[in-house]
Amino acid sequence: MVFKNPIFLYLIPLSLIPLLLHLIFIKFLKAFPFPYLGFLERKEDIRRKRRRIKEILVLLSRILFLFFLLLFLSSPFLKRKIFPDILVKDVSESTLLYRDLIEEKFNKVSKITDKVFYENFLETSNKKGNIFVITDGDKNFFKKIKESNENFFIFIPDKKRDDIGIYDLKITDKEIVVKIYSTKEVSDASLNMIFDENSFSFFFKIYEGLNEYSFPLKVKDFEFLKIQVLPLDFLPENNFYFFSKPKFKKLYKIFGNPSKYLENLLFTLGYKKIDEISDSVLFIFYGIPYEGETREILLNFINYEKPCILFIDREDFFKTFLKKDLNLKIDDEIVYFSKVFDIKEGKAILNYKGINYVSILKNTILFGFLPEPSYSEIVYSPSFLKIFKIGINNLKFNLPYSLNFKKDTFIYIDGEYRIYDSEKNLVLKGFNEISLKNLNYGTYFVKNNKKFYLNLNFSKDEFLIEKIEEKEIKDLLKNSKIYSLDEIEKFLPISLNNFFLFLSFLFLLMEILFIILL
Amino acid sequence: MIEESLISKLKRFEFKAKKIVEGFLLGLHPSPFHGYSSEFKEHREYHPLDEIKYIDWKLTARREKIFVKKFEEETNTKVYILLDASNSMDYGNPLKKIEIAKDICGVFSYLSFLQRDAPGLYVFSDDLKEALPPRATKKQINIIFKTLLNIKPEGKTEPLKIFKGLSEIIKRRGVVIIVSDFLKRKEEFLKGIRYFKAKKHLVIVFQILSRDEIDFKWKGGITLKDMEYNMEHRIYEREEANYFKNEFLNYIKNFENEVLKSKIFFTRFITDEDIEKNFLNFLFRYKKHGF
Repeated sequence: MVFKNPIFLYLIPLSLIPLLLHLIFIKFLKAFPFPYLGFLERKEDIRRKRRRIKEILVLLSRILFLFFLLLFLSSPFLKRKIFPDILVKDVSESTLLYRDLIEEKFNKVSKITDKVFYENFLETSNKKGNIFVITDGDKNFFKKIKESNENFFIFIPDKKRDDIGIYDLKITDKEIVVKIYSTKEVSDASLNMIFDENSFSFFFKIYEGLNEYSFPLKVKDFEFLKIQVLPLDFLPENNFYFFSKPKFKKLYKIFGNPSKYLENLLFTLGYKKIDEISDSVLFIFYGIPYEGETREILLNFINYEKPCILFIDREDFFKTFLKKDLNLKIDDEIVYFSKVFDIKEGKAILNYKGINYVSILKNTILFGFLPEPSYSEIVYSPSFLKIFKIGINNLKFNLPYSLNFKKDTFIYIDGEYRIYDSEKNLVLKGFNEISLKNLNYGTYFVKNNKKFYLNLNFSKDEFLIEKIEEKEIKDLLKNSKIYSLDEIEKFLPISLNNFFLFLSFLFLLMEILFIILL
Repeated sequence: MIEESLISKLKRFEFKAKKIVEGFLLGLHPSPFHGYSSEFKEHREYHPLDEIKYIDWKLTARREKIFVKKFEEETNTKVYILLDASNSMDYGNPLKKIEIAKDICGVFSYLSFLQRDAPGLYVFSDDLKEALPPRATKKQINIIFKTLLNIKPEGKTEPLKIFKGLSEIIKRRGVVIIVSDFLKRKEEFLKGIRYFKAKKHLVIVFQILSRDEIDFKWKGGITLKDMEYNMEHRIYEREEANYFKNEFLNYIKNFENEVLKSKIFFTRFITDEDIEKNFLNFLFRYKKHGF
């Protein structure tokens, strides 16, 4: 038998307290002489025996009540042959999909051991014993295990999903825009948003291919300014003020998402107003002019001041407009978006392939990808130029404010896709195409140093399920035993808690009955 | 040499005994035990205090004077006073049972002496502690009084052994007065008493009890310890205290009934009652009913 709270075992002698109290009570009863007690002898014999039996039974019940109560509190278990001396939980990003399942199993096992570690244990610990590892089967994770010589018992979910995922996520004014790619139609998908202790769920249908959904954002930490970019022929006269060179006195951090961009040429930019301190602006423009061409863009600041039109030409855009008219500080990391330009020697060259958008906020770079090359965007950032020259592989991704995309962050550059893998904190090169295997099913963003989780949930049966390649894992883990996550229950010790609690209350009940009936 | 305090105690004791006896004699014939002896000795003239039943009517008719019969032992009855001085007698409130018992013994000794009877004192517990065979002398009274003063209760009560032994020693019929609390197995006492009864003695039983024993009161959880035997009895609840009290009362009631059934004169003294009054009551009652 093993005990989860063995400290209570040390208190077991306390169950003799009733006996001690009884003896003390008897010892300190006032003694009086009486000339003769023999007259009681015969009748009293029966009474005394009865009373003695009652006393013993009540006392015994009390002692056993306390004894079993303490045993219950010490959480006893009947140990199986193989017992998890150490429990290790894989908390990498990739486990998000299985979070509920893993949590459920983990909680069951963790109840019987206080030796719970997280994956970093594998790199740092040299503890011996049976080590139970709950993981989703990430190969990188297994490599850590391989390096260790411990007696590992690996528990992984039977199946792994790779046919659906969130691949983009944006916050706009009071809403969250989620892009989901799916290989098939799902009728009852839901999105859970967990902000601090609040949880919201949205149910929706997912169609095959790209899906984009907006969900109300129920946190009001951001101040948003909506900007509409309208087609020129949309302009009704007298409805707008036109500024040839708008002068912005204030600087804004703007989050943008070109939702339904192609359809109606409207899109919404959300931005966070950071007063004078801000050093970042994000713009996503429609119709960046070709070389030698000038383009007029109408920006309608719906809830801020008045609408304006930006007159942009190539040279202006880079050399004048963003630097001077928008009053951006040259050293700040500001805004960039484009797949339409390769930036060479300070010049943007039109390129219709590649990055859908890139948003650079303060210390933040976000890359997005859409396969259609039918529109163009420009992102300008003096600092980005510098960074880009160094090469994307060396970029450090530090995302304190903004959305934090994980595997679903792509960049297309130099004729290939590059993917930022947040788990490895690496940009992976050499992808000819983006596979859904690289997508996460859940993601989160960080705001005010708090994580906001978003997870996509689907009913299991709706998707193709691919078996995890056990052979491959076994090759990695020759000395380890691999089980299905469901099988972990076979190793769980049998809890005796309820049994001892039952016994405890049984004796309490018996004590009461003895007192009443005898 | 007798200490002065002892002498003064003795005088007080004697005074107490005399007071009780004289109070009794003022209104009654001095011999409560008179007439018990059966052997006729002589006739004498009637005295106004003589009982009518002793008038010899035949002789009176012949002589024209009233004569009464005089018996051989009338002034020579042996009074055996048996005093229980076991531990259990060392109990009582406000007076201990032994004190009352001593008073009773003293009174009877003195009364016997006044009647020219011969009082003797036997003090017992688990053994015979003192034995003063009956003598009808003034000196005997003093010895008895001194003995009584010096008695201290000790030991267990072993009535059967003692009474059996005494009954074999005492050859002549007499009056056997037993003063005890009779707190021992009642069968032993009864059997012992019946030894005397079998020898045709007049047996008078004085049971001395304390008020505390009769009116046992609940005082919270207590342990009662037997004063003679290694016994304990714990009382936790009022109900148990009541049970205890009832059992005790039943016990002494049963004992009394058994004694009375054997036609033995039984009197109970309680330690907080007026001994003089009780004693006179006893004497009048005895005089009235007699045996």
